[in-house]
Amino acid sequence: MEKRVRRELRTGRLIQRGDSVAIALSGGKDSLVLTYILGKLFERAKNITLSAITVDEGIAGYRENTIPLAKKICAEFGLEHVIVSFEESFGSTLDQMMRDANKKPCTYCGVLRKYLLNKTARDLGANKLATGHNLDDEAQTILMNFIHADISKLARLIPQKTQKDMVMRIKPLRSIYEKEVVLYALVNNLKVDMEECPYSHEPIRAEIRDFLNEFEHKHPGRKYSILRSLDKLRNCLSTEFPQISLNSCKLCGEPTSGEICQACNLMREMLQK
Amino acid sequence: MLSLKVRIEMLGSNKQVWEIDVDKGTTYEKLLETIDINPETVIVIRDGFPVPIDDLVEEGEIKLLRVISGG
Repeated sequence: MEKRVRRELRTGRLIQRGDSVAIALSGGKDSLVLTYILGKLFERAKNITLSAITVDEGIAGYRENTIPLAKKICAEFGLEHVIVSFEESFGSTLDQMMRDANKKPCTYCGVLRKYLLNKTARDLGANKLATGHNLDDEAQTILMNFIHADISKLARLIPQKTQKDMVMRIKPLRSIYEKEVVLYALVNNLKVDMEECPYSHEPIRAEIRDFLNEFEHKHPGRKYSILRSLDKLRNCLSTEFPQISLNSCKLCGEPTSGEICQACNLMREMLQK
Repeated sequence: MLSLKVRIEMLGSNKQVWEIDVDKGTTYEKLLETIDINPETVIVIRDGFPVPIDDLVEEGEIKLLRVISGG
């Protein structure tokens, strides 16, 4: 598995000499395994800097289990570890936001978490942001975009060119099965928490996940084929859906495709209530 | 056919236990199918170690670790 991650890093030129890579480390199984593998691969590399960012969304009964695991693995590899929270950055925890929210928790969490990860990675001087997405995550997302005919969103799954203020996102585990990730954690004695986020509720994704698992069991290797199909569509997609250039948000200065970024929009909406 | 007694325990919040008899020569993959669990979704653990699903079932206890997306 380490070999395959290394191959993914090499063929995709995901991590190169001189890079400073910030790991998006929630403390869940995927990001713990990602940190462990990258730590192991680059521990002795002098010209590659690793650091980790944990976003504490403020989800009672969930995050307090994973944050200590995140701290522990960073201490083991001597990584700089920054913990940022919704409460400090936006004035309230996700739990508090949900009390009078009119949108789904994942909308707030997704937008605000990505905002903080990008901003913190940039503050750390990182030029790459590594996330723990595995093959199952990727295959599900690809199929979901097909099912919703959301091909412009599909195009955004292929590696993007770097843009001002936007740290390039990389997914070193994208070709590793979720089952292998768990197995790797088990074999390497990594303590992981298998709890699911209490807010996690994506009925369509769950159906696709079950379907993919059934299909993979009957016809092994299909999750991987789905990922490879996307890789083969790369050139077509980037021609058909060229990357839009980003502006700076008029309120906070963070990169956005519009005038005001989604995070500021959400915050304004909440303040109006 | 010689039969083996197996106790299966699903680890995690919704703990489930099965106690079944299987024929000697059954694989873990077949065993999981008889209790309607897709081998793609779990890891079989025997004596604290993960075992391949095409291994033959031995008498005793196994634990199943569910592979879920925690994020």
